[in-house]
Amino acid sequence: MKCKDINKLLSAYLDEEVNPAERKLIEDHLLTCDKCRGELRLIASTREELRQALSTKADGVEPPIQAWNSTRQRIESKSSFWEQFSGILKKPVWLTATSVVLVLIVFGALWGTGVLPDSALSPEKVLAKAQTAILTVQSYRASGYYNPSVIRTQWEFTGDRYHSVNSVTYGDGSEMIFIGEQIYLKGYNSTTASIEDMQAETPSAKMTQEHLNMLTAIEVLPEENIDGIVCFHYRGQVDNEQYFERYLQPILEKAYYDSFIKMNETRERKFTEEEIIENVKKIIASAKEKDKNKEYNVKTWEFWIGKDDYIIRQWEHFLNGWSSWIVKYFDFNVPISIEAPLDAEGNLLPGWTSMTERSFPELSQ
Amino acid sequence: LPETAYSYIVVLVKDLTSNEWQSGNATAFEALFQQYKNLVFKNAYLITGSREEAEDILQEVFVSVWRSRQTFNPDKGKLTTWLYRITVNKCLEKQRKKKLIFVSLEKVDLPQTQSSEEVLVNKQECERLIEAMNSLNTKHRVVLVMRYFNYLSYEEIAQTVGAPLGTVKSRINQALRLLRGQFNTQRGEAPR
Repeated sequence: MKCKDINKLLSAYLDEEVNPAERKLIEDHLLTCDKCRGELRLIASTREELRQALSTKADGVEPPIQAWNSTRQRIESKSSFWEQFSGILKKPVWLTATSVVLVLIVFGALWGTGVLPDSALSPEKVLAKAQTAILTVQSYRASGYYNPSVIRTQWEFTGDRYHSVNSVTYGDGSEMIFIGEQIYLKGYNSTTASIEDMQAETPSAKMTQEHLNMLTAIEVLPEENIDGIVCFHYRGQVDNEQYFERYLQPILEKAYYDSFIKMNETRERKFTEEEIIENVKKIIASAKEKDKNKEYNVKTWEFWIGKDDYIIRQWEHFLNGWSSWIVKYFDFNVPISIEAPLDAEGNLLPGWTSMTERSFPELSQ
Repeated sequence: LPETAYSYIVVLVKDLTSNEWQSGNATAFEALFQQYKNLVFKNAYLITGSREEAEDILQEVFVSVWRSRQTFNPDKGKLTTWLYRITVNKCLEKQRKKKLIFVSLEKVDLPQTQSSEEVLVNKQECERLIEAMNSLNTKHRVVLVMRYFNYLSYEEIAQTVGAPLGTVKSRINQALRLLRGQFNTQRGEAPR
């Protein structure tokens, strides 16, 4: 081997990234070649110096404190529900700007002339009417998805029964049927979801009603058309504490309760039921406090309410600032039948499992 | 609450949520960010030589991680390798945008011999070596940082930069020589 070939391998040799045959060739050559030995020393010292320099340079260098917030905002701005229409938004900026100016001019000209609808109804009144309207809907369908991901779910509701089909959430084509206390599952992996999670993710009319009750700081947004229906469009903030108590607390309580029970399996002195409840309460209180103090913990909801019938057509829940959950309702009061997945003899159909809603001690009292 | 019990729960919950960020859990994703922000930031800083760019790259990397979180498969590779790879790609993207003029092999005289061993004795020398490194092109800086800051194996570097092992081997060798040449030039020494 010539010096030129050896030189090419020297850094790999020092980094111990040569094979035994190469190693032997190099070492044999170095024994007899002063020039290459010099070269080796040179590379070795450069490596060492570089290591030292890189570590010194990076020492104590840290991203700024606001790095997370900036990143979150960037994700938020890039992942809006309307991103799917980004093709439209990618039009030249001047065009968009011109349209905005034009709309403003037209709007300004029409303002107060009676051409624009009078927004005499306050959002509070509309929301109150929406609460009543919910009660008139006995059966309905909904489709929803989490953004920015591709998780999609379809639901149908009738009375106290509901049926959901997921595209991705807990496995492709997984289904769930709730009939009273009985739950039927198909394609669910029990390690990925708990019944509580799944229930919390079911956008029933009852849940929607609860959301409306939690709204504060309601803003009126321009009316929008959802499936050909002109809708009031509002945005509000969900009261963090109420949200925590309603949605997070039950899930956490059950998870922590379970973990204590599990812990008892390996403990000599077992926690008593009272101790467990006491401990879980403490953990929940601290989690609640932490949740309250999260700087970005503002949960924003947008609602689209039919102008004619006050039925909620759509809502979007912005979770933790950048991801959102969008649910659209349709097929109001059409006949929907939801039956248990059982054959004529009352056996479960293939692929289905059934369970009864687990009961847990009441911790919140 | 007894401390042991609490830590047990923490471990349990942590275990339950280890891959939660991949299913879109915002809190888990924030935890991931906090855990790896320094790794990404320091690498981006060393590769680009600029704090501002490193800040920007840090954000871009995690935006990418969030958006492609479902494509990461922990069975197929280490999370850190994935992060390095995204970081490197973002650095290269930045460089392409800036259309940097590369210091090509031809322009730098390669050192041939060395009269005495030199050890960096102070911070100033470190600074000058980093300065010399910053004058290399991004591809060379990347392999140097991956190898001599992160201590990745050549194989891992190959995965990170998406190049064959042989290319990595010769690129590191070349980068070290260029670095020495540049360092000597900056010191005003005649390249040896």
